[in-house]
Amino acid sequence: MSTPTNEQWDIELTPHSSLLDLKLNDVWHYRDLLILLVRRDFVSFYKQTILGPLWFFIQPVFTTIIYTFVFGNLANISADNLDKPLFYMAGITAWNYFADCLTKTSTVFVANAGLFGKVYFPRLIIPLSIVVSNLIRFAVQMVLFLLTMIFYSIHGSNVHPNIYLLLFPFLLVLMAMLGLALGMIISALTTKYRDLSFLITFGIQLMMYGTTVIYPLSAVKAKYPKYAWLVEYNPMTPIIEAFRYGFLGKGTFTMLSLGITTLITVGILLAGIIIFNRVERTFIDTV
Amino acid sequence: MATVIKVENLSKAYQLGEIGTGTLSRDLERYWARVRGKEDPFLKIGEINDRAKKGESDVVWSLKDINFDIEHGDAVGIIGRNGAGKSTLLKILSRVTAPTTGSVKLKGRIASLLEVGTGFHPELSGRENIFLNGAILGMRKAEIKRKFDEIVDFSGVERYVDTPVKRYSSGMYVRLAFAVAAHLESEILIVDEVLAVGDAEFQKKCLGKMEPGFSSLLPYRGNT
Repeated sequence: MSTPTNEQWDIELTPHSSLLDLKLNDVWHYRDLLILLVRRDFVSFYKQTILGPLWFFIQPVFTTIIYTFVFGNLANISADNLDKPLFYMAGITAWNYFADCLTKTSTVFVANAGLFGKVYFPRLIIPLSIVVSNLIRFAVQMVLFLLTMIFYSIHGSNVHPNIYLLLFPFLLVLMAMLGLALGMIISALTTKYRDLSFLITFGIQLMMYGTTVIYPLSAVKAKYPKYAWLVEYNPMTPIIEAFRYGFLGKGTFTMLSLGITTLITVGILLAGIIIFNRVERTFIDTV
Repeated sequence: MATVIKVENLSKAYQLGEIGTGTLSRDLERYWARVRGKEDPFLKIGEINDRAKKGESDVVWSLKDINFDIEHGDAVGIIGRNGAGKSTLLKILSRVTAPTTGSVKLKGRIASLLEVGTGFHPELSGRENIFLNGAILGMRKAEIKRKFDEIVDFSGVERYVDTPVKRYSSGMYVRLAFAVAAHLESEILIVDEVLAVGDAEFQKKCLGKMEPGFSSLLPYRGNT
């Protein structure tokens, strides 16, 4: 080994790190770990279940049936003139991905305290692996949604997939980023204040009602023109509306609203990474 | 010889008792002190760490103004009573937690073994866990692949390599876990009482593996 001069240190550990050091290089170096963690999640999910991946299907199917019955028929909430099961399934599929990313990343620190307490690796890897793992589940649910769509269009439903379908990858990234960001912020705060883990379970439910999952934005605008902005500025709303518009041909969104959502998402994500990295340094002392 | 670890004025404070009630007001107070450019009000009152005596404050300094250098090729043991701060020091060196004050400078790649088999998933086979654990320790996939046979050979559990590790005996588990860590290409090895497990033959093998080219830190506890 050559003799390095005293100035060349590879790593310096100090009490505080720079706020804007996002450690993304470090994350890149550990990319293989990310893939292996995703594999681990996938493989261990199947173990000791009989139905295995079928569970991915069962949940959206039953939710759609219940929603169609309760919100569609019993409460008679508008479905933008679409077939109700299709309308709900589109909302549920997209919402589930976001909600899963959010709830799972929100427990990262507490759930992995044992691992984080013993070995160093960029902690960001874990939330990232959750987002990627959830993609598998989302892909299965998307297949189900597409099959339902094909079924309905054969039976003469007014389904109009259009050019906005191309927005889909972008919408997916937005959902992942938003779920990841909010989850990381909550997970960072729960290391000290466990209250938030209670908030998240019902908060996510309430947030669903503030998003256009079981009703279209057009219905809110027609009925509560004064308060529609509340739903409109919810960053998830334009994503789901654009998702529905692309696949089914009905939905209320503008490029401006999608642009605002993107800005909000990127902002929250930056804040999330900064908070996460700050807490990561010493959370093991308080968790 | 070149210095590979330089520890300067390293201190670490821990809070005693329950963390929870009053943390928000405490955090606000600390934040306010920082904004005014004052010293952290809760760190001032910390006192010397003596676990046997009841203290006045609920902040304790596990490490206080530690300074030392470790040269390349040194093997250093850290000895101390329970609660003296041995593991705290190793935790800071392996980047699990950050120091309260002071700094540590390191040269080269660090492998730290605070616990064997961290991140092992009980449902996965030995083979899968070698890859997972190797990646957690910072190895690239290609690197693990290259060394795979060597790792299995070193661990001596070849026969069980496709069996889920939950079926392993604790000795086999440790053998496999240590084998992964031992093949990490690092200049600095940090070990915390992990060799207490494993039979005499394996312990000897591990110590042999550590000797060449490593700067290692080994706290000894009890009989190893």
